[in-house]
Amino acid sequence: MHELSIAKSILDLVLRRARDDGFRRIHSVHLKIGRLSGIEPESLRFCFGVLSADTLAQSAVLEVEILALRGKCRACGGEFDLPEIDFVCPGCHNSDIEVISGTEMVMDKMEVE
Amino acid sequence: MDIRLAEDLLEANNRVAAKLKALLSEKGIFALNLLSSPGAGKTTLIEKTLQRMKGAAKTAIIVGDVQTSRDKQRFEDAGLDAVQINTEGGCHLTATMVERALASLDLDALDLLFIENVGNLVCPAGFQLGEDVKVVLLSTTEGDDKPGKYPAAFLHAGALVITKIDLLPWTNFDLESAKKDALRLNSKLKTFEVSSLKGEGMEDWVDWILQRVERKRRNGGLGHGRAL
Repeated sequence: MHELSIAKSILDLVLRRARDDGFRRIHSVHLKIGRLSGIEPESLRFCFGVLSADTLAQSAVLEVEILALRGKCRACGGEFDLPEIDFVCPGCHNSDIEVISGTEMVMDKMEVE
Repeated sequence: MDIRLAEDLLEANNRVAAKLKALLSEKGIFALNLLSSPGAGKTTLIEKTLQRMKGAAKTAIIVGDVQTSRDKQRFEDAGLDAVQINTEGGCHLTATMVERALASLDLDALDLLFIENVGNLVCPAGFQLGEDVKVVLLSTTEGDDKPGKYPAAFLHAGALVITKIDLLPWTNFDLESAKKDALRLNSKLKTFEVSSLKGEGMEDWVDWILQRVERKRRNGGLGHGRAL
């Protein structure tokens, strides 16, 4: 639901970087978004498209890689993909699970010229 | 040409949140960040909690809403100190908004801070505000399937308060199923069942907060005020 502000942060960061390093155009921006980050990729792309008009990023494609929800068992140390709700270690059936991935929002890289 | 960025989009907020957490620790203030969908009873829970505490903790409330200062007015009518944040369309509070609100409070005179987030079970989950603990509210009129549908809110919470339990006879809310689902996501979750208006279950909840306030107050100024 806060895709507009996230899109604005992304655009500000890539434009600053492009300006600092003297690039002429941004072709794409690659993001890694956790499945549970609350971000909807289509909505993010739409917002980014609107905001990036008349900037170095106006034709940039927003590539979104969705990261699975992964957990680590605090008892046996095993790591595994987490299902929708039942957070139990498939190895030792312990339910003390640390979520190690799936809530992040990271700008990984961009392609420029 | 590929340029590596590796920028965390939440980093800017996390940095401010860490600063606030350090400040609140130094001042010995226990801070709760209350999350729920609109109408789950955050404002009423805070009002009734503070009435029961009868001044046992010097408290301030930061209340976030998209618009109006109705909640601030409600708190002030009840004789409570409140700072209103209007997000003007924003769907969650950010650490910077809380930082601004804290600047208008006398932190040396406080032990306890309630941060009432914007009513929304999705967006506030990812934004730390410098709190000691996130508390998720789930009302019996919303349905017991919410933990499974909105897992992010429950994942990083320290406590779950199931509210409006006085209405249970008139709903199909399954208390055990809601708790079970929430605990399956987060086995460390402390759960409470309350009716803010009728008083049921409020004692345990109030005691839980006061114990943490006391612990944080003792650790205040030592730079290691860990409350949980």
